[in-house]
Amino acid sequence: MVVDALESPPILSSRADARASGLREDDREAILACQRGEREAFDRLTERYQRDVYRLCYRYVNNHHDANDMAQEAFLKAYRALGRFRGESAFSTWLYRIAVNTCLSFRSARRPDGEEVSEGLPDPSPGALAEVERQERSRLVRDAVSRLPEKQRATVILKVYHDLSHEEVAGILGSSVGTVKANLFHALGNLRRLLGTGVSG
Amino acid sequence: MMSPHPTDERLADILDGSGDAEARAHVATCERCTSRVGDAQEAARLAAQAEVPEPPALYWEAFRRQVGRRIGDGDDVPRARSRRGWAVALVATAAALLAATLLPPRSGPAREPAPRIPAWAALAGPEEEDVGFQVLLALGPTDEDLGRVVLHQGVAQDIVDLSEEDSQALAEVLEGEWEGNL
Repeated sequence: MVVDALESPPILSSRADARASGLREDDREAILACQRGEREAFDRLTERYQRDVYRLCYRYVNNHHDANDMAQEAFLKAYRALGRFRGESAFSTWLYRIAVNTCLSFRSARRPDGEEVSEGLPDPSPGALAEVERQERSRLVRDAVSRLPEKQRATVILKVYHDLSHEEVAGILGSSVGTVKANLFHALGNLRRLLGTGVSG
Repeated sequence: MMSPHPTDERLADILDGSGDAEARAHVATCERCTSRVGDAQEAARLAAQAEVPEPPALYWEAFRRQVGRRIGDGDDVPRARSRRGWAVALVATAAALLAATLLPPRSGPAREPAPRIPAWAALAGPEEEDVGFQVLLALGPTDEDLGRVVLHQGVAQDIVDLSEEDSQALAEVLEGEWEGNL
């Protein structure tokens, strides 16, 4: 039960330790408030990270509906586990780990890839045509990323789109740094093959 | 003699500029490794350009509220109605409309008039956040439109609570009734 998990005494690391681990002070304050039972403090964390978590999930599942479900699920899991968060990493890293695990365990019937939020009918002006081409290139690349094996996909997403260090990615995926580097190189090679010569930019 | 090909781990270091001198020297003279590093760099460049479609601004407010609502409810079950859920609800509502049209009114003592709320309101769901639900509320029939449905107090809730199997059974009964009325 959510409330039970948060009723345990705060076990968050000290301010100095938190700084050393990369935990933002405003995140630390919000987490402490949540651990005191102030649920609305989690709103601030949701607002701060919802875009990043949604985009991470979107790149994984490649459609809006599943990304929405996965992102919500990740925040709920984070809230339930917040009583055990010790501040030994940035909150964002911890949250990404939950989001990645949520996506990795995502096994429900998938909607067709490529389903997107409606962006309206294209305007036939030259600028709009370039925009359509740019969107199409993005779609092709997202499709190719979504076809990578799961760990490779997660590695590319966290490295390329979230700009995390090899060490952070290793922490999130529960792998060694060497494995992350090898996975990344292998994933990018696979991605280039999947994209073929049809995509350039 | 050329040194052995560096491992993928060492080639990954070259991608971010931190490769060791021996690996870099090898790549500079090895066509295969040069090609592999070039492919990886090109893939990383293309991947970095691929954007995620941005949802409408209102989406983020709805997202935050929905997470807060689910936390407040202690509800960790996805509440967004799935397509299948919508399909079942719509089939059930269509069945109610069909029943109201085809079935004769029940005899018996007159009932108290039903509250004048849209029958759609009987459908369970996070109305405030669910745009689809709001559209249905706006477009769907009211109790006045439904006519005799309001005489059968509770039918709307009953059909919402039906399982898919029960919905199927109801559809078969209604089909039989329909054929019997023809």
